[in-house]
Amino acid sequence: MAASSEDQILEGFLCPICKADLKSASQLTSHFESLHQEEQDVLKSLKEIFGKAKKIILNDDTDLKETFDKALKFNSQDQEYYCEEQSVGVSRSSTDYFRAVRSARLERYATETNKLLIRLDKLVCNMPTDQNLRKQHEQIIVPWLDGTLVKLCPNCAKTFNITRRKHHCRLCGSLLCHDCSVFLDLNVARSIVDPSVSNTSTEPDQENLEKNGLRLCEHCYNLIELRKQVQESRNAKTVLVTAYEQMRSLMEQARPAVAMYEKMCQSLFDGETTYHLGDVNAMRGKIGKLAEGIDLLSKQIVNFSAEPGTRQARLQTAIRQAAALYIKEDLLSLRKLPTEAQIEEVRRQRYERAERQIQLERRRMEAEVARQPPAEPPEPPEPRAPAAGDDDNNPLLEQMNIIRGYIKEARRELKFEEVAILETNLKELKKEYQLLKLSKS
Amino acid sequence: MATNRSGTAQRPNGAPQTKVCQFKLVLLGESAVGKSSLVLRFVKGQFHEYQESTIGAAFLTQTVCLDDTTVKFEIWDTAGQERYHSLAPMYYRGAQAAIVVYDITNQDTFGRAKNWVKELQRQASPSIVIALAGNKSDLAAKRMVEFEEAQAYADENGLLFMETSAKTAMNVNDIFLAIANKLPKSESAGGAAAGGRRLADGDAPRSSSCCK
Ligand SMILES: Nc1nc2c(ncn2[C@@H]2O[C@H](COP(=O)(O)OP(=O)(O)OP(=O)(O)O)[C@@H](O)[C@H]2O)c(=O)[nH]1
Ligand SMILES: [Mg+2]
Ligand SMILES: [Zn+2]
Ligand SMILES: [Zn+2]
Ligand SMILES: [Zn+2]
Repeated sequence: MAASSEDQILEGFLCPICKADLKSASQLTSHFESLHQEEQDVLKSLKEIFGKAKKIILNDDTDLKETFDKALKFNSQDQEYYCEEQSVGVSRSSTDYFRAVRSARLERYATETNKLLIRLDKLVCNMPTDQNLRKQHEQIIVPWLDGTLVKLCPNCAKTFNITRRKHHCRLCGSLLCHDCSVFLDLNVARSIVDPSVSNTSTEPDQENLEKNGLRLCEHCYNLIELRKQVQESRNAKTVLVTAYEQMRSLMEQARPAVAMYEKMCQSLFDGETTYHLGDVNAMRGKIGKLAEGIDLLSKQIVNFSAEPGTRQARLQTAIRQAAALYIKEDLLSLRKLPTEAQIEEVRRQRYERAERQIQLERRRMEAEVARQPPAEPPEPPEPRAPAAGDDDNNPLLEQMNIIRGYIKEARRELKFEEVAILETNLKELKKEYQLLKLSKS
Repeated sequence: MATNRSGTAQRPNGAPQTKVCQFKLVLLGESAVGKSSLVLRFVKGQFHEYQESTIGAAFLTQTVCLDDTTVKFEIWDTAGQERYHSLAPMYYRGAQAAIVVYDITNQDTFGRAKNWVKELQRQASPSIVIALAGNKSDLAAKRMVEFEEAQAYADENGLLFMETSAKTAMNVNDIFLAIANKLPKSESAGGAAAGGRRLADGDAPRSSSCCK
């Protein structure tokens, strides 16, 4: 059944009318609008939808466009050039030649650097502090070039004399003048040969550096410095990793916050008075802030330039998608809060229920009492019960006020776990106080 | 093979004429349900385990021969990722057929497919032929969307419905064929308003060139 098919597959931001690839959603839209005006009805419905989705487009596709443009070395001015057809002429791969040149260079650098590193290692380990011993130690490891016949500094070609004395590079032993010397701090040198000792000491001033540091020629110094940079960049966390870790940590914070929010919300719906509506709103705000942070970081991650189509690019996109999904499903789908009125209503019902219960209880008690008249005279009031007058400095009341203070504080700091415990505490105190009063009267 | 180049088949040379109709077909559905895979299977007979997610949209063509007609599909495979959603209307407007795809192992994609159907019913051409494809039927062991449920939904909404597998090729050609059969191909319906474009000499569908 299937018959001829044209072989090419076009993909990209293709214009549905002329099939030009516009490289980004926004360029496609403007192309479509400006060049295919005749399709008025299409345009109208499109505009509608774009109005709604404007935000998405603006947010997402500018990024996308940038990535694309960068990757393809494109910008809108080049557009015309791109559209011209150009046939490929004779071509030849130079990859192998490039590889050969490159590996020879790398090899030279690598062996040279390694040689220097081995020497550096020997130099800094067991370096004597005494200046003369140190000089001996240095020369055993790297023999110094005999300079008796050398009249000029090989580096700057200035004549050696009493004021321009001969010095030696401690890594290659070659001659140089003081002006051509570079100094490597010993602590830095140690951290280079042994990356496990991080260099925490402060940078020495120039005078100290020249006195205690290793005198090197520029060539040796550059190789060592390069090595140091490679090492540092290897250990350094990339911006990407840092952003990802921050995002994870926000997610870590969001989890308990959401659980707490659900709990608080439920408590409100149950008519409990532990949390105020304001508390729950504050919690919602906190979750919103976290969501914002996660959103921002994941956007940073996806915007981090990577060649489109590579694994890194895919990974970045996947992270962004997962984050967006997480925000949408877990953080923004929070249960709606009840209104003040709803809460009032639930609380009232709850209160009435409790009230009825108490009434019932009381009547039953009275009935009981009526059935069996007291055999003995009523007990005298308990001696330790406080008199009615000094109610103000009742320790229970005092305690309650202290707890109220704590609750206020915990609330301010959004520590709602604590608020819950304190509120229970307060309730118990209240009950006790009421019992006390009852027994007094 | 009835045509070598679309359009030439109806050169009036005395041979029995075959009508050649061209239809625009669009694929819609959540990302990763297998839209591109279905098209690739239909057009090239291939399947890639690691099919890359589509960026923007992809354009392919394929011709099928019915008894008396040759139907050329211009296929627009849209990108399912949410951020491209706003581009979809550009592609489904003016389309004569749509395949809305979901993944039978993922309930969410079925919900998304229903939304696409709703959007098409509201915004696309009223005569558009819509087919619903429950893809990845080779993964029936992990099925989350019941066949009966989808069939019932399709019946309610007057959609063609098949469970397909781009991987095993099951029902892939069939669903395109079913669409081709359902599309209006009569002379009168050949106008741009209702059906596919009836190709005349010199109207070969080379891409118009607004950018050149
Ligand atoms: N087992 C199985 N896997 C399939 C089938 N169809 C597609 N896949 C796989 O599903 C993944 C996604 O397929 P795509 O064709 O890229 O999905 P899509 O709908 O085009 O996705 P977007 O381009 O992002 O909208 C790929 O890894 C395919 O190999 C199928 O019928 N069976
Ligand atoms: Mg695709
Ligand atoms: Zn165009
Ligand atoms: Zn010099
Ligand atoms: Zn040197």
